[in-house]
Amino acid sequence: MPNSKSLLPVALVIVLGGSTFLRAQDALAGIPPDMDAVVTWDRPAESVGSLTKAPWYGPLLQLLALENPSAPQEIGRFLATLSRYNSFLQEKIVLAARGEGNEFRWLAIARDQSKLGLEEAVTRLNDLLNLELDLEDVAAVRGGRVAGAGPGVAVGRSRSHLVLGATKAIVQRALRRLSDASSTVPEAYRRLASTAKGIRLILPDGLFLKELKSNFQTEDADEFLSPILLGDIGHGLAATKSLFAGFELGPQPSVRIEVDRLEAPSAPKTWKLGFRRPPLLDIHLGRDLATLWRQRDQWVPKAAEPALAEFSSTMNIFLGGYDFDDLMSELKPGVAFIATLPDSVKGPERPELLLPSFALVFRTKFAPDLRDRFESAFQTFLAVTNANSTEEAQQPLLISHEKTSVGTLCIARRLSDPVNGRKASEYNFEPTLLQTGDRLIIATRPDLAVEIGRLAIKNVARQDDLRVDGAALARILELDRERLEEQALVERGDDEEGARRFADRIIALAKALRRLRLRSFDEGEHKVLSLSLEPTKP
Amino acid sequence: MAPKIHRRRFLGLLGAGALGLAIDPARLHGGTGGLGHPPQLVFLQLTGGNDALNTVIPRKDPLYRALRKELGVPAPTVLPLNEDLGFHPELAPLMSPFEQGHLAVLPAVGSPRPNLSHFRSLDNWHAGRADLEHPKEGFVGKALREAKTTHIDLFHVGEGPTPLMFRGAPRPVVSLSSLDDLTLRTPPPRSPKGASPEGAGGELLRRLEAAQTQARAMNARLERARKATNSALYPSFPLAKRLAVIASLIATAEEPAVYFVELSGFDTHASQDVAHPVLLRSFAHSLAGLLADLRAKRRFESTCVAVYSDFGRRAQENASRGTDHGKAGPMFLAGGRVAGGVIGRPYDLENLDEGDLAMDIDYRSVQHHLMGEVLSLKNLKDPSERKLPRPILG
Amino acid sequence: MTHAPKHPLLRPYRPGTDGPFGPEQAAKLLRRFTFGAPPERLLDVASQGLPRTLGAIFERPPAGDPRWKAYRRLLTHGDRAARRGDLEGMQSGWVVRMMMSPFPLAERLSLFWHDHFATAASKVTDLPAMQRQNRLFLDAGLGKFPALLGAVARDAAMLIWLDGVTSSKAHPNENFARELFELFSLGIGHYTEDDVKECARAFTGWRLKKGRFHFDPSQHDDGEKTVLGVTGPLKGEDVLEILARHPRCARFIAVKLWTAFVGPIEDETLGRELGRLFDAVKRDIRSFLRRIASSRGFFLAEPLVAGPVEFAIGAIRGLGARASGSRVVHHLKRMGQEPFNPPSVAGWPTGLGWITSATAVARENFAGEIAQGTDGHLNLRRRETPVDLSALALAMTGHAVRDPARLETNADIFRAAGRFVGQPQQWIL
Repeated sequence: MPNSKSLLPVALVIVLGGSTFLRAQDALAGIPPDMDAVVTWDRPAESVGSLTKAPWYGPLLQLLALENPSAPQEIGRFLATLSRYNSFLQEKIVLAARGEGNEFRWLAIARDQSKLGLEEAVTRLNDLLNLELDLEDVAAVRGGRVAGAGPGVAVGRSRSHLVLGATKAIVQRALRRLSDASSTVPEAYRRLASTAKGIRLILPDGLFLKELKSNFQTEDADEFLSPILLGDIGHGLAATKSLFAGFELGPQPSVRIEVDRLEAPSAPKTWKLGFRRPPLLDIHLGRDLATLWRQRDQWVPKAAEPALAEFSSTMNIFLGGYDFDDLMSELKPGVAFIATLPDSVKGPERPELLLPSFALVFRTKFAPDLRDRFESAFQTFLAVTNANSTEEAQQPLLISHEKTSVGTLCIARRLSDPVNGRKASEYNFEPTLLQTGDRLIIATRPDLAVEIGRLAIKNVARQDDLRVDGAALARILELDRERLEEQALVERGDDEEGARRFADRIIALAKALRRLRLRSFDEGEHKVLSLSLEPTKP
Repeated sequence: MAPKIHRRRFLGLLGAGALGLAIDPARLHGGTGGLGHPPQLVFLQLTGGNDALNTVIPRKDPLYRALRKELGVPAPTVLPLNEDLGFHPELAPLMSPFEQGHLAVLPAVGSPRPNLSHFRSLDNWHAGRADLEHPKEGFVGKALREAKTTHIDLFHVGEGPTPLMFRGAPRPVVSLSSLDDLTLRTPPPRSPKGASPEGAGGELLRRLEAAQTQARAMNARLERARKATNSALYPSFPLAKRLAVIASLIATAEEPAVYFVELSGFDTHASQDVAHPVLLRSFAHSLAGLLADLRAKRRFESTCVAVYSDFGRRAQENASRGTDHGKAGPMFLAGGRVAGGVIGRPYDLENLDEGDLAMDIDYRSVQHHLMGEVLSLKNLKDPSERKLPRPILG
Repeated sequence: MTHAPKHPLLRPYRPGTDGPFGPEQAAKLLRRFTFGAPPERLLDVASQGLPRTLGAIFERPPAGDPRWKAYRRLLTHGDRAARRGDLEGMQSGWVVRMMMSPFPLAERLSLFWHDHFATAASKVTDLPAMQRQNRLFLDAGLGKFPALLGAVARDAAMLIWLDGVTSSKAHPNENFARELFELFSLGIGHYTEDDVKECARAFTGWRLKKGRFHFDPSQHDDGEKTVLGVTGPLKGEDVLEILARHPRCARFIAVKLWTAFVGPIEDETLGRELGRLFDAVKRDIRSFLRRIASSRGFFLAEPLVAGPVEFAIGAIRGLGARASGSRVVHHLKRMGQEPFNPPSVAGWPTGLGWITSATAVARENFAGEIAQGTDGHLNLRRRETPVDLSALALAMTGHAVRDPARLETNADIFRAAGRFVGQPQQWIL
């Protein structure tokens, strides 16, 4: 890590949620250029409280504290206020903050869907915060009206936005800027970037990347932001297919872009699980889960077919209630399908299912979001399995939870047989759900889930750090030039000449690098893919 | 340790809690609805041909077990509606409206001259005809035209072309899939004067221009509808999202209105055991969400939802764990004024019509009643051959 | 060609006698068969007269033409996108192909057949198969119809789409058989339910192996069947052969082509004559299209509503511009025509069916981005020299405008074009 001084991002932009940035663009326009911490947020305001739990929240506060020791307290109080103040901050909040001397200034702009008038906003603010903003003291300013002068809070209203700020002056400025706003996203970004020594971006998904990309497409090489296109360059970088953000920064060249990966670089070669017993089948995919699934009859051994059919319906029901295609694309980042030889079956009775142990391992950046969905899908599956079971004596599958070193297992088991008072057979089918890190494991047996969980965790840390020196990258890009050009032809609609220039520019950029480092790590709910570019010394 | 949950109770839990639905039972019972609001009629089409026998199930009929060896729904899980029939367990969310008498179930609705092509069958349904080639007019459009009604709004919530049922109406149809759809983002500059072409295209052009004007006029209305959106009552299925849009439109309606929305995927030729329950769940939870929302919005009394499909499916299952195209199938009618219960006779599995369920009620009769009773249109003719035995509304 | 059509609308259009041949007529031909052309080219073409215009539309530029090089790269791009499961890449690739193909007629036909044999990636999910189907339409879409139909019946995407892969000897699946008759070859009313059932048996055993067509004799029902009046131990090939000679099939396809490229058919005789004409040219699609393109009916035909692809590609080609493929796809989805994902096996809507409030707004939003030109998301670029607005409007609409204001820069052109594209006059062909 370079020392914190040179890398201190004075401008910090954190974008949450899919296409937040674009949707927040009109609110962004209201941020004065000297505000240097910006948070956009597009969840309903009732979840603002959870903002404080976000992984970046701590670093943000530390950062602000460098400039103003009271900032963490201030912004904390402010967010707590917002979380209570949810009746008209329906969505899309942009927060900005700046410390200056002893004064900490903040500003929040919300695209206000409720169309409440200023008076009502003031009344509610007074009620909520025990303020005494004076309704008589409303002033018409350019772009709207503003009420304030209270201790530390002023409120303003334009036709489309509600603005809260530390002082009347800052609210007034924001209203003015909103009314003048003609700036587009790239402009807003450029403006923020122009005051920055470093920029850090966390981009949670592909949709956003696409939007970002289309906004950053520009022909002008002298522009402050120039696009980098990283195409399918080697399996390690395949994950950054849609990463088009490139930043050439300030007088002291120092570049740092951190991007949530679009697709995990879990190419077959890099993700090998070392099994105790030789697996019957061990298939790893980087993507294209849908095809794998559809063509399963082509790669599954004959003997495993009936069992797979059973598993297939299991999976389908797992996915139930959720659009299959949607889920497929969300689960795209890597899947392993593992089948082991049948375990020996203990117990006095013949089990009704003779399965090899199967497991599906998904790697998903949405794992936390999907956890509840999977749990309920799992329960649904059990309910349906139970409902469909024809034998009267059959015990229903019931869920139990078991804590292990790799996480909490969600296991479906049959109870003991109450009629004959005997211990139930240890059937070879105890569907188990395990989430560990970004892996979602669905196995036919708990022990297989644990085994994979353990291996999966070990493997994450090892694989996701890739260092390439600039010259090598340039060579890779040169080899991949054809594809880079094709991508420019299609995505940008370039002609051949333009595509060639585009590839040239990217390759030249790579050549100017001393080193590139790609790594990924967990940061709270985000998978962060970090791409660090170190330019050669001037 | 495994908690002991009885199966029935477990399914009950799934109905609400497990899927994260926030349906407050108190809300389902509360509210007197909004008499005095203009009538609202929602058509929900289960596209692809919904399997009758696994939706409304002849729960005691041994013939059912014989026809559905693989796909049959186990008798103990079927939710009883009356002596003979019961709901598929995934329809649990609709039990409460049924028990309160706000949901009518019509087991075997069909055409006297059924056609097993999706397109022909749906065309006929939409045209309110039994056997017409290339119909030019839909039954809603025709009824409105004949009743000389212009104070009515027509909405198509979803993708794809405008449904045929609206064709011929004296009002243009508004199509949208979300409220954002009709937002002009980057309006083009205005056309310069005198730029319109001469000659060609006259009538066509006029209709295109009318469509454009209509689209622009919708913006204001939708702005209001946007504010009335209440997403908390709906599960995350795409259908539910569309129904939420409809509820918002209903809440802001100043005129009577007819809505069309569809849930597709019912063409279950293979692996029906997997696909069909999922579809039914999506359908039942979404519809239950809509009904709850309408109550909360006090539009339950003024609204009627009619659910239908292309056709039913063959009684005998096929070897791909699926069913092929059939004839009659169930319809559902729901709303505050609907007189609930089972309307029509139970299935007669001994007397199948070429392997399919035979028609008990002509769909045109149901359409006729919906137009007359719900929308109070006058001067309607009922061309149907097997009529509804009683009115729809109570 | 010895066949002399009797129907007055099918007689060759004689410029001078039947009407003029100027920029307006040239524009109509180019818009309907080649997605349109920039004004420079349009004026050039019009001055060359009808026969040479037809030649420019219907004859493939020689393989040595330098423009093919970039085009072929787009094809490879699509294949690669399919292999890595990137549907958007495939869609963008195809859209850009349509924008810059040196032989746009072939692309127009690949779109037509994609609509006729409508197969959706959302069900098929095997993207390489979808891409192969797209290449099939591109390569065989101007050839003989029976050959095309045969190839489609063996096409992997189609076998998945209409459940051929799950059809077995014991339980034939009727899905493909039904659509083969109803939508692909005869039209409703010209076959019976029994034909469908028997035809399904004939196609049993048509399966996939490793993603490619494979005939599995063990799953084929070789019993006797009667399909469309022919009895025997029929195979799939035999049914295709019956259709290849079936007069109703010629008429059905000929009428569909006429409806798409010329306009609606009101009278029965015209339908019958079209069928005869299609047979007379040995069901060769290119020859047939060339005949109708030079017919009186074509030049007398009323305007057609442009589908979203025709509209968007037409606007961009009409500007002599290039645009970001992925952005155009973004707009196409909103206008209701997502490539590789038709709404059902019946294909996309036609005519006024395309225009709803939502799609009308989408067309206006597209126009708004045209007006943003090089600065907008569409990333429009135009290398040709500026032209005057009237010529531009002519290119895009085929109709002259009264305001002949000269435009100085490309940005002026895009701004002006945006103004036009947002108007319903530009939504027709």
